[in-house]
Amino acid sequence: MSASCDVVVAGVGGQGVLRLAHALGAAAAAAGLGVRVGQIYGLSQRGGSVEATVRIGDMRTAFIPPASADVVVGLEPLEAQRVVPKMSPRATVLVNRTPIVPTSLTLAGGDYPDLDGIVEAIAAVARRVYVLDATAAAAAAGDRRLTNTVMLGALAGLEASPIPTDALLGAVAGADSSIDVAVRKAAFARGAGLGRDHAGVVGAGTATTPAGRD
Amino acid sequence: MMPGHPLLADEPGRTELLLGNEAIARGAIEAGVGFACGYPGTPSTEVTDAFALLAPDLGIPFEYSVNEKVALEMAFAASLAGARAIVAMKHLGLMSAGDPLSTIPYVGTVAGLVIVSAGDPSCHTSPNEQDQRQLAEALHLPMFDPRSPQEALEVTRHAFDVSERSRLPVVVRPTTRVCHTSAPVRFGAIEARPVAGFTRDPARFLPLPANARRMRVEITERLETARREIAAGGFFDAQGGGTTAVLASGAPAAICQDLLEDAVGRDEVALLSLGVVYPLPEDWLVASLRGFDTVLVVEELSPLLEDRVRALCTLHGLSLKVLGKRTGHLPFEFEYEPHMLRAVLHDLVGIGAPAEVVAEAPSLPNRPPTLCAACPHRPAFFAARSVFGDEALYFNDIGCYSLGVAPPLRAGDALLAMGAGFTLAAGVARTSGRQTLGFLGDSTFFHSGMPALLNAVKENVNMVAVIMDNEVTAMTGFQERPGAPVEDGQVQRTVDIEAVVRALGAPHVETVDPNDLAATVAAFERAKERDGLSVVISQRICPVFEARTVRRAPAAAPRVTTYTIDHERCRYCGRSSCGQRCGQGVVEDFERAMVRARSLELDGDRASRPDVAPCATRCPLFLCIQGYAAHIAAGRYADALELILDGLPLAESVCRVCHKPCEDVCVRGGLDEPVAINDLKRFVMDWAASQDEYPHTPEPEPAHGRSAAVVGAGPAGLAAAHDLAMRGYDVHLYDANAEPGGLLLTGVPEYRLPREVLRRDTERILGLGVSFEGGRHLGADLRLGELVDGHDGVVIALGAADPLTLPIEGEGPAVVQALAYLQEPDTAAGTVLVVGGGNAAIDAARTALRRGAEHVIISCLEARDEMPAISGEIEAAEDEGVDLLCRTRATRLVAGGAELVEVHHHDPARTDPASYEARAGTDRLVAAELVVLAVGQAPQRVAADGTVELDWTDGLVVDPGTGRTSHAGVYAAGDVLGAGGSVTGAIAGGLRAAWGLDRSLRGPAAADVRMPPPVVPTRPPPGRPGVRRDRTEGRRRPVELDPGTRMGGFEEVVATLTEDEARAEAARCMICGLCGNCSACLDLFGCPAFYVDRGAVEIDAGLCVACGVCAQFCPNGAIVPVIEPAVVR
Repeated sequence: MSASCDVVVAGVGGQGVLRLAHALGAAAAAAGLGVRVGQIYGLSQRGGSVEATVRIGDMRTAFIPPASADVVVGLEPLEAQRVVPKMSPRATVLVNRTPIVPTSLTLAGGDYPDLDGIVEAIAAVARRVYVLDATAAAAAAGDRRLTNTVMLGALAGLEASPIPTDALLGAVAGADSSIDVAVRKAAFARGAGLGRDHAGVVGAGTATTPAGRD
Repeated sequence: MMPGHPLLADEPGRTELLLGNEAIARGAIEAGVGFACGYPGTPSTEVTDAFALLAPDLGIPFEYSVNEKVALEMAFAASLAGARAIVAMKHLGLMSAGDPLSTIPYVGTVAGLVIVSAGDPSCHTSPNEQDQRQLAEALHLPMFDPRSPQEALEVTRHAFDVSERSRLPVVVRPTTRVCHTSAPVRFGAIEARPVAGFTRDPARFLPLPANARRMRVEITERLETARREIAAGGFFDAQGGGTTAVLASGAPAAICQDLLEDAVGRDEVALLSLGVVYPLPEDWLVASLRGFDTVLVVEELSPLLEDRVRALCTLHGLSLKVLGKRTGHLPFEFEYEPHMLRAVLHDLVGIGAPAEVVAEAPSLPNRPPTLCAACPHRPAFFAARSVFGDEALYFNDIGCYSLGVAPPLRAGDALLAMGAGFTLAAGVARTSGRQTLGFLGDSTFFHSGMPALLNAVKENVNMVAVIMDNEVTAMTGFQERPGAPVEDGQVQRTVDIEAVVRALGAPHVETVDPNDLAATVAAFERAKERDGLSVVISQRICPVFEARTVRRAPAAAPRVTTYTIDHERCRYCGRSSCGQRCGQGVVEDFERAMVRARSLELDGDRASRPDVAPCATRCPLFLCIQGYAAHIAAGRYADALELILDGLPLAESVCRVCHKPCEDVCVRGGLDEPVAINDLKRFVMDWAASQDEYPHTPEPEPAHGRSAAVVGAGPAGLAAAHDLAMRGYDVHLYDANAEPGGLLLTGVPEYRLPREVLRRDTERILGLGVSFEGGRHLGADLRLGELVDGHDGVVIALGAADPLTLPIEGEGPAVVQALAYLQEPDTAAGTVLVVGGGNAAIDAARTALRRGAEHVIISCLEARDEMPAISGEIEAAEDEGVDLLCRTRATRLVAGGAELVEVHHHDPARTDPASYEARAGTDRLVAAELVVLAVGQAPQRVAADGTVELDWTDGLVVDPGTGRTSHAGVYAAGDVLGAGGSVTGAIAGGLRAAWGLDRSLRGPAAADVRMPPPVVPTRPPPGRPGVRRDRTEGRRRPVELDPGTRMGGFEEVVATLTEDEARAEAARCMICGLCGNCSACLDLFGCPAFYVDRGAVEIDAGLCVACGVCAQFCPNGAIVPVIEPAVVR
């Protein structure tokens, strides 16, 4: 893996997208890597689509151009699919499988898209797609709100970024959070386990196994 | 508090990952800032948030000021007092502070004053993307536009020096992409700056005209100082070479640097870039541009730099092609992204790779931001919308509650600026006369809502001003505002919003907890009733803020953790809700009327309510009364009409003659008075009759070739004919009278039921294609056997036209039967004695008065409250002067009158005349010239001709459910099956007979599409939900002709409710039964925790935080709490 890596974090306002991006940035900086973290907040935090970018390397801006993200962390399936235009053909994509139905969809009487279809759409562009149940893992670790930490752990377990696992864990432990640090570390460890279990598996996938073009 | 915070580290050379905004704060700290303040506004907020956190450790005062004007003045005052000061706000805030801003350069600063005003190209979190750079020259403001977080730190630190040396305030104007990008930032040293204190110098600090003119001249000199100082700071650089240069300013400069890195390294192009807006380092610029053929100026928003470069070229004789926005190479609008710039640079100077074709964004359901689950703004909007509906106008403001403009709350007809929620509402109300509501938050109220409210008070504008107090500035990240408690040693200072509102002079102020829906709806109801200005303060802490600040211990007692849907009671799936079909679509106005009714209830136990409202249970026609009441309340009269006519043929007549059993069991009666159900029906029917085109056209099933005969065109026969026609039958209706109507025609006087009204009803039925033949008598010129042979089915709907008589002995005045009397207008006047206690007796008595009788007496066996007549009719008769002699029996006719005896009654189980016993010695004589007998009628005899079976009394033998006779193709309904029934009972029988006949002819699948009202014993018993409300409200009564006037003729006595009365009366209905036409939770509330899965509404337990508001309004009581047991320790 080269030292340059563009990461897109996508999810729903309230899921901890910005915190996850900040943890990635802090870990990269702690590891001595150049980094830019970009985020737009304000209105987006109220249950809307949220996207943050983390660029590791020597770039001066946090913009990730179309079709160039190396890693995408999707905290919610539909939001992962929304950033398909950002994914490069070599992208590794992590998708938390627990959906959050958009209120606009409920009001319009529409159905949430099929998860297999979402994975297929992502796999048509990205090299690998890993689908995991981060929400369940976070709940099992002790706090559902730690879905983002599980995803960060999975990213570490998959070794999908140039940031060393120690640095990532350090960022989790050092974050300003009201949740107990032991619980946060447990969520990270669960995520790392999910990532390691998947790391060697490559192939056309279903909702529960990695998919993609390799 | 935060001694180890990195922003405080006095370690020059240390590098931290910082947001651009945090870097600005660090720059100010390094400059020894002595005062910080601001007003939160994305994307500037983290500047002030940093000081909110760190000010105690820095040992400097900090405040979130109430608005930007105040903030700027506070900062300027700090500068006058010799403290370096920083004040931060977003671009819009700088406009709000425009008044002091424009004069500060005249007076001049003492200690350095730095104004941070963050810009937001592309309107990421703002209503506009104004370019504050245009203010720099106009208001004499030195200004920086940092290119990166690192430069943000450095320009801020330097800006204090520039300000002090030029005595001008210096603006740092970063844009979103700098403010909200985190990058490694290298620290400098922290300077110590003691506060110098205020030194009196009136000539310097008072911009009186004479001084101001001197100050204006000084400004020109001071700007030159600023230009020198800024140039010395060096926030500009030039790299590369060649013939073409790119000149970039602010955030896009960093993008150009990335894109042109290699080309610059090879001298294929030059990159000039700067983080200074004004005054420009013109010497450097002219020197750097000299020698190039072409320069492309890259800056966001207005072509400020581009125009300045052109001016410099002219001034300095540079022959340079200047490209940019004016030449069409770059857009005026929005922020510049690398992808767009790369394309422009490639096309223009052949640098880098051509633009890639970007994959189209997938077409996915969008996910706009919404109010959070449990947000208290939602029930406040919801309650207001439930009360004011779509007729009022809603004006919103800047804050989280702006999200209330989205469906389904739609509380946003316009939105402008901080505080404008009130002014827009006031201005539109004053000029248009419309009911308006203005909404704004607590922080916005203090910011600029107070003068807006004061203005509305001054003019007493007829509007509702709603202050949504969630105790925090939530939108921008939970900053304190003046109303919130502030920890200050032991003292908590609070600003009481209600006290402020009262002090402003608002005449009506109420504070409510929006999660208490009953109280909130009631408060809006009161606001609606008042003329003039009403203020409603909706007060509840933001639950997200609360969760962040209050740690919840494991529960010591069982607590509600979430809510769930009881699918047995939820009718979202649209299944028939009370055994009845309902073909009506779900409409929001109707749902709003339902939730409003439910919201007003104080009783939390909605799950215990009956499936069917008691009124419907008691109505022979099982009409959905709450349904048409809700339609009327919502102003949807055509929908109410459809619902009434679908279940009740002859509705226009029935609403004038009904005995109204529904009103006896109305749940509202337990609170104050029953809803005027019949008057509501009358209102709808009369409204419909007054329309140019009748607002409802029934759609019968297509004809299928089967024919049916209906004998008897009274209420039962007309109802059967109506329903058979609706079922696609060719219907032939026969009656002995020349016109259809039966007893309604012959037995009900015109002052109760004008003939015109009855004719409209019968014509509607005949209009379905029913053929009518009058003057036909069964057994004479109409034979049952022939009807059976000639049609597929027959309904016998004869009435009870054979009058009963009384065994009165003796000879005296003429005796006439009531029905005959009512039809013979020439009957003599004088004193009339009517015998009987039913409606026919009352009708005869009141008719006698109208025919000129001098005195009318009614003698009946029953006591006053036992009389079978409709109680309102009895009262009307008494009002008109009829004398009631209750508990008497006419025993004997004598010359000039009749003898009566008093009776008593011991056996309440019996009501037959023989059960009343005479009291000995109570005989008396009553003078009368005419005696009218109104003691009932017997069913007509059916000339069966052996076609159908008769019992030993010659009555028809029928199935009580459907009226089926012994012949499979012959059904019966109405008084022929037993006299003494009600009009609505007869109609119900007719509908059941039609259904029964249809079932036997076409089978249940086709017939059961239209279900008739069930027979009374098969219905659920009327439930009596205990309901409470915090206020009562009596029923509306229609106007009646006064007794003096009405006696003059047969004009209709009772008028119709007015539209306003009807809507208010309909809104009294408590909607106590379940409804199948409901998805109110989705259609009106829009909580993000709700979703639909496989056709059923569900609540996401991961999102629901048990605010419980939805359970308060669910019309079906289908939202129930999930209770977590206590944690046992």
